Amino acid sequence: MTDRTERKRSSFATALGLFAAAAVVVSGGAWSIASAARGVFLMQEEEVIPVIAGGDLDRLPALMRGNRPADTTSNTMGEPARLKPPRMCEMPTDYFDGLSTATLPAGYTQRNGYVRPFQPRRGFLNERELRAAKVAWHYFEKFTQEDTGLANSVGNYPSTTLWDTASYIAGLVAAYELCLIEKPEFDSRVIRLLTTIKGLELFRRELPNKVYHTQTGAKVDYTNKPGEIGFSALDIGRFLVWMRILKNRYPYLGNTIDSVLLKWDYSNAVDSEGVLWGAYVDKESGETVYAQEGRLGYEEYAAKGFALWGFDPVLAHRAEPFLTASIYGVQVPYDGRDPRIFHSQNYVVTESYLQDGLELGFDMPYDDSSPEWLHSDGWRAEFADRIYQVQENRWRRTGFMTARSEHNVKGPPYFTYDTIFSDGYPWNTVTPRGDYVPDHAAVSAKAALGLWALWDTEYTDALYDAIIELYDPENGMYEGLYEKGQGRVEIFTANNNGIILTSLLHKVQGTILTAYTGETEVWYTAFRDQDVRERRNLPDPPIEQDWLPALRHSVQTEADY
Amino acid sequence: MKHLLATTAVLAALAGPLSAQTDTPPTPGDRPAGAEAFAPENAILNTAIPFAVGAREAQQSLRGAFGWATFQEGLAQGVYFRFDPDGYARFSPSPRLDTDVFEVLCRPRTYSCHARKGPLTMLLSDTGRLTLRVENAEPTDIYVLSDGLTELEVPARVNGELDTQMEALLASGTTLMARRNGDVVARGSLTGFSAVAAYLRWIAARQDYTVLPRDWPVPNGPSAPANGAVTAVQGWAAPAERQLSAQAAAANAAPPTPEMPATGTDELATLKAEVALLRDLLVAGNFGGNPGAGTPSALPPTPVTPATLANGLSATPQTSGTPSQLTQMAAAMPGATMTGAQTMTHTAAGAAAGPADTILAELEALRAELAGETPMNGGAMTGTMGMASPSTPPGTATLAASGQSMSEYGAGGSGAGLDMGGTSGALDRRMAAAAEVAHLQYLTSEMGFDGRTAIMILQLAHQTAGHDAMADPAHGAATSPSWPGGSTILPEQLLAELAAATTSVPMTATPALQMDSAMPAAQMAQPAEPASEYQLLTDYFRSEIMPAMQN
Repeated sequence: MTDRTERKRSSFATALGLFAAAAVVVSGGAWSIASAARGVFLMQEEEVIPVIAGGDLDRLPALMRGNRPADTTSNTMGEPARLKPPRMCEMPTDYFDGLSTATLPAGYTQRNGYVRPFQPRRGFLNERELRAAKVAWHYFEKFTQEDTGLANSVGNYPSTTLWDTASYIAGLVAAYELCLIEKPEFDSRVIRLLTTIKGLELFRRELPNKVYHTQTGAKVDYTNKPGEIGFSALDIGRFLVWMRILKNRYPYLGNTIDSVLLKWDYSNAVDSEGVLWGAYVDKESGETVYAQEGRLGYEEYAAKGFALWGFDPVLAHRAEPFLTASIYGVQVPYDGRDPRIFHSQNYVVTESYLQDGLELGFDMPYDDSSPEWLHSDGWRAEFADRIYQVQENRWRRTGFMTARSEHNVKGPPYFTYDTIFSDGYPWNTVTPRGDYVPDHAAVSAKAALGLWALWDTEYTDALYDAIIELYDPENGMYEGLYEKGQGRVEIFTANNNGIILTSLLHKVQGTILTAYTGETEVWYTAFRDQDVRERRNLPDPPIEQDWLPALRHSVQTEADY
Repeated sequence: MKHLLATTAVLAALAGPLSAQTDTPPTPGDRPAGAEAFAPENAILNTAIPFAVGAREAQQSLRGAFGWATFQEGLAQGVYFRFDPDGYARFSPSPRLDTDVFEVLCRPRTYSCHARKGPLTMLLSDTGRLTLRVENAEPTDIYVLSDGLTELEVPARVNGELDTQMEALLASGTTLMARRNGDVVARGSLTGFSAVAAYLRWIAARQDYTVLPRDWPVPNGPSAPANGAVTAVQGWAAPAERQLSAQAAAANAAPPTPEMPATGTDELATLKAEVALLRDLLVAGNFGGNPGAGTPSALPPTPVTPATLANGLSATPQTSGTPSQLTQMAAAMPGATMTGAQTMTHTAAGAAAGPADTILAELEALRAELAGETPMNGGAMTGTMGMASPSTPPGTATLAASGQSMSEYGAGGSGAGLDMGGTSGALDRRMAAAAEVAHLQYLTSEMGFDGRTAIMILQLAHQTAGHDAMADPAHGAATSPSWPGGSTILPEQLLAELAAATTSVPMTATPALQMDSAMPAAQMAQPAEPASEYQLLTDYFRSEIMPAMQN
């Protein structure tokens, strides 16, 4: 009993001692920290950090920013940049084992990024896909003009646009990355092409004409006769996307690419409000007429192309004005500008959303570091999900396999907008002049494979089976499969084959656009000693304050009938 | 793709230059398979020229490298339409052009087009007549026009070249059905039939408005209408109607203002319209003594005299209180006597009195002469109008009048006609014969008479002129060699006509125009309207009414 009492007293004394010691240590520490902090704060008030001209602390006017790199998420937030993956033939067999998966629930994030409830397909190409890739590339092998390096838009008709030339570049990049061609051929083709593009006669010394003859490189009209039509901001926007992809992936092409783009005059293509403008020739007076170009879907995609080169198309990148139409329970967004007033149709098709997803990962132009499952241009990804969902719903409700896009058709009317919604009607298939031609509705091959690449679902498996063998080994992938059973759309185009190759490349490498790994760019430093940059509206490297805003729109939470 | 190019090349070679209409519809294989379809040589239409009032040229929103940059869209005869420069068009009662569509396809690089809707195919034949073909039809099939409630059986020739009546009948129908053994084997909607027919003709005529129906609301001209011009009422009228209304307005104005110069086609259309009206009136005139027996219902049941003719001609404009151009012209005739002026002021109610009875009596005599085909007695033809006999095709009166007025003005005139007349002793028979041939050609080609009737009309004209010459002392010595038919030819008359033809009026002009060139200067001094516009009618009145007044 006594021992027990003594032991208790001893323990209490020890504890008391320890407590006293701890109190002393804490007090001493606090006093030391407080003293140090006070010293630091007092010293900071007195310390003057000199601002060195051109240094980090120097808030340079825009015109003096030429020699500093553009701000991106990787260099401003210190996140690891998204670098170019290895070519498929150079990938280790376990390459896809370590891919990151979403760690956040589907929906918008606090920064208006978006996590999709769907996963893209990733992995090596199987035999069927590789055969499709080879056939698609064969289109470009067959229809590229030796002298100019330009590829025909449609079969052997020697004519092309910048949009279709971008599709050729897409095919070229995919062919190289999928190991269908090797670097000598890649370099030979791309340098010949860029050299030709630099030498193109521009539309009234501004920007490339809308159409060029692929054999001569001469600017032509829609009938492929010498002449000029105007320029298309959408075509140029897509071309800029692929110029940026090319430059970021292959820095050794940077100077050539910069010199091509520096020749152009952008003063009438993007205005101070951030609107994209195209141009055409007035039939009566022959004068240039500038007109706002682009509708919901295409407009934002093209705007991102301009933004990748430092332009500020803030208005073009916004979704507004837009409306929604309820189709099979899905609120399908469409452009709110009245075609009766603006005389421009508001087609809702899959293509521009696919291109944004495949090439840009539904990311903002300055985002070069976010994981693949997070899309910093949130509303674009969310709208794209609606575009996918409504097509799957149609398949489930009606049995019509649906992958809608714009596509060529054989015979009159030669081209159709096979839309999800336009002119007030769902599933409207119309010609460029507005005739309703439902017999030309088709499962578009490029749309089907694009959906397959970005949405790994049962429905896209069905699309894949319908399309993956839809090819002519001599000419490339067919344009599509008629919805009403008239067979294949027997026409071959650069755009279709280019997007199919892009889709297949996305399966292997993910988002096509990678981070720029260099420092300063000739694109930003050239002509600093002249007034050329002002005259041509050449941009300065964007800083964080110049970034386009990441926005969100209301999310549809339940089916709307 | 090579085979596409090869096909296109072969088709291009086969198509050759712009060809005339053929009745072979182009097959789908005739069209270029792809971008080749947009070669500039395939553009056969200018989409800036409106097909109908309200149509507009629009730009196609092209995303690709080829296509037609423009098209035209509009509304005509109750159907919406759009067409491309290559002639491809769609006509539909729906603005979406999605239901009940007539589709027009043209053979590349030609004006050979056809329209399709279901089993029906429309095209123009070599002669420019509309042809309808019903797919899978057999000769024994029965064709029926249906409007959903009633049915009207139509002749089997509906499956072939259509005459005007059949075309009008089809344009009024809604559905054409072919029955075989009581079963409907083909059924085609006719909605848009008339608009498509007009479109096919418009293409074949290289976008010339004169081939469009008379009530077609064509714009003012090939150039784009000025702001607000489309809404002007004047712009909605056919060219001939616009001209007539302009003339009526000019006649109303005091002092009268010169007419706007008419285009050749407008002038021709005007003349044809007037001739047709005269023809109708003259036909009515033949039955004037028997109202209700064969008289067109549109005409007043009054005895047709020169006075009523004038009133009849002016009937339409006068309904709006505007004197007709014919009345104006008649009143402006420099040689009009008081009697003539009184005649011009006759109303329909008072037309039967006075000189009209005399003229009617003379008409009877003329009819008797024509019926017997006997040479005219000079005395019997004194002051006779060139009124057509029941056996004479309409329009004879105008030509007879022309002949008569030639004699009058050739004799009374001066200048070139008389100078040449002074050398009548050395009259070149060949020149006279040429003038007669020109007359004959005019009668047969422009007026549509058969050869026998035309010769008869010429004889009548010359007999009348010969009688006038004999009755006129100034013409007493101007008797010319006899015509094979028994009448005489006045050298002055022929020379005057010849002079007119060689001085100012082309040989293709109407004889009436030739006559006026030989008119005395005083008579040519028309106060209001340019002489060339209305000489035909002036001469008509001069020839028809003046003799009556003189009597």
